[in-house]
Amino acid sequence: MLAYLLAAGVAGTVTYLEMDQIFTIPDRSPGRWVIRRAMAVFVLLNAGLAIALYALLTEAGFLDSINPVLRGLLVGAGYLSLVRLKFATVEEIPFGFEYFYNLAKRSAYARINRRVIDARDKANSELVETTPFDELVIRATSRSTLDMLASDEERDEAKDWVLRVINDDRTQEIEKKLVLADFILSGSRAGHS
Amino acid sequence: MLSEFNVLIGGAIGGLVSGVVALALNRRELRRAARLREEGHEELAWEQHQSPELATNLLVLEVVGDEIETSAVDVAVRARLTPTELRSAIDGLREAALIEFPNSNRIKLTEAGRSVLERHKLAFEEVVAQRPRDERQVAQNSEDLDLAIQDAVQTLRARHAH
Repeated sequence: MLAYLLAAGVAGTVTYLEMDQIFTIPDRSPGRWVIRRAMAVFVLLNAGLAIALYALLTEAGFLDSINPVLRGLLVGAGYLSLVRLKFATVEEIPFGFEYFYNLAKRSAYARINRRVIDARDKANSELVETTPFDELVIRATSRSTLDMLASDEERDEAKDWVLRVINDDRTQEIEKKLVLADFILSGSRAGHS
Repeated sequence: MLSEFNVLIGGAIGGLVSGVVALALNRRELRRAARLREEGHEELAWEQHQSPELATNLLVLEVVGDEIETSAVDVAVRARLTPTELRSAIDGLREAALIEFPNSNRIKLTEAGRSVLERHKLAFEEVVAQRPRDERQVAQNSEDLDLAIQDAVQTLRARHAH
């Protein structure tokens, strides 16, 4: 039983970590639990498939000589390698399970992504409604200053951008506030989610 | 009773079927991309015509292409563009059928847009370096930027006080 749980745990944890790097969900955004539920479904699906793989390999007598705990860990990690496995490449197309796995992954990610966009929209609107423009500017500037992962150049670039947004004469204030709110809440760095 | 042989054969057949389906769909995408090229949708050519505007367009394509779908606000933040700069880029890219709007707050690349992006493959930094900037607004160093932002905040407060 422990081996099954380990296989599921490894596959589920890696699947979750992959999604966590891609989707930015503001802490207090409305709809965040719906997003987390959708992410949980994909994690559970992968964990379930890892359990099925474990059962299949055990039934077929694979890895019989290995300790069950180690076998569980190996199958959990092996499941993730197997779904990305390429037997050969023809016309730059991989022959293996990768295509079907990517199809399922894209479908799940697209659904989660739509909910994330809507949740971020709502969170941005709420922040804009409750915060004056000057305070948004100060928070956006602090956000760029306090980003420990950013280089000095990236911090200056972010500040320069904040300044350009303030001085964008051809844009209404509400639109400028929305952009700054998204920067504050998502912490999006240039070129990265 | 399953045997190791059965599992291996099952895996091989699964992989083969997956590859054949992927190959067929890829050929269909290639035909569609070729048709779009013939129709003249691919208007961006960095090698022939480098300009700040084109750099901005490619930057927007790159940021949009990073996601399955994204929002205009997110593109503005990640590409470090002002709403005006983004609007201008989006208008051009939409006209060239390189991006599309599945609904009012979502943007995604079209097949033609993906094809243009793949052909260029410019490093993000290179595109950023070519981005148009208003020289009057670009301060020289971090301290200048902080001072300029403080001034802007004071102006906003004064404007709201009136």
